[in-house]
Amino acid sequence: MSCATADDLRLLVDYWTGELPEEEALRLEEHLFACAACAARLGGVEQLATGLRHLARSGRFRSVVPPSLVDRLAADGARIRTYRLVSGAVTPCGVAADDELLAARLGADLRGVQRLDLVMWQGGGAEELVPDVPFDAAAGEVILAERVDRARAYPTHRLHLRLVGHGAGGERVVGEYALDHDAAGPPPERRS
Amino acid sequence: MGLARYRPDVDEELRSPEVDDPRALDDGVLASRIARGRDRPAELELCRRFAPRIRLYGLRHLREEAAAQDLVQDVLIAVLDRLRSGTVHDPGRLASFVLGTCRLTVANTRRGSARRAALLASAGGVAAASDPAPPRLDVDHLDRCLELLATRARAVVLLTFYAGEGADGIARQLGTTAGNVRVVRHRALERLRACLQARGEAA
Repeated sequence: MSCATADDLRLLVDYWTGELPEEEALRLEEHLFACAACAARLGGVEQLATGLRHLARSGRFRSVVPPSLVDRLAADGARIRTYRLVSGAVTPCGVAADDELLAARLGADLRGVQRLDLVMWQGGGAEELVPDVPFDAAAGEVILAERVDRARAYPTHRLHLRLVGHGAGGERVVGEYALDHDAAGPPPERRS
Repeated sequence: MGLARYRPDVDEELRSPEVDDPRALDDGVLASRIARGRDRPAELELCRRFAPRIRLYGLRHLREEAAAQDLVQDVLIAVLDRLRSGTVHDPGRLASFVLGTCRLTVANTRRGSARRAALLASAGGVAAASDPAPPRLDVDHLDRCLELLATRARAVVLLTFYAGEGADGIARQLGTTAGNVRVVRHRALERLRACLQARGEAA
């Protein structure tokens, strides 16, 4: 195996995640112990992985995520404040001092949706388009995880959210939701 | 210049002042110097060179930092012990020998505490002098770089490295294929790496 291996990030990542076929993994290990460049490159992958784990566990990310990530964080003891949003309704929300992550779970009929966009805006403000968000149609919901370090700085405001689905039948609005954020803090306990 | 004259089967060449820096020695010569007699600089270099690789092997197979650190100590101790006793069959294949020792150590049950204590007393000082823990990333920089990823890519890397999900599982959750997940993951990591390097981080 040549030291072009150091440039093959996909190979190193598949090895690190345990997804390389066993024979290939064994050969790569032989090479990693004999090649300083490739060992250093793998070390870089490990550092990235460790850094990403740290960001995830400390709730330092804002993203649409599948339920499994939120469930895993909760199982690891993360204090997640959850709001279940129903299309057409306004949901009061806020952030408590000891919250580590916010999760807005938008209930939606995602049958037939092949691609999903999320649009967000405040009052008369500009729309923020989050295109091609991950979703699990079977779960019937979309989860927006919001970092609390930012949310604590938000003023009292209403946030509008719209899910737009694209499928064989064209484009359709899957759901429209609203969150009434109170800068003073959350409504009665909703933590998951 | 020194390496061009290097003939490891000649004793005085091994101790030539022109190759005093053990970092310049290849693995086989390093092993030979250790086998020929106590050579602390060579032993320290061996530990410096292989401790990170052993730690990564430990993290990959044991998935726990503390266990990986234990593996580093145990393997370095065992390797030094064998080199000093002259019982390494082919010092020229030092890397393979270290890897084989890693595999054996992980696969076997731990040796009795008395035996380990004795080995630590004779070889642990040198092994403990190595620090395999690499420099850490600046997570604030990584935080900013992560925000620059597309939502789907961000979800893939978080599912991979926090939730420990494989490409197949992620694909099922995102309604795509495992091949697509691997492509997204690869590109996301390349982007993170480029972003960190642009901000001056080594990755």
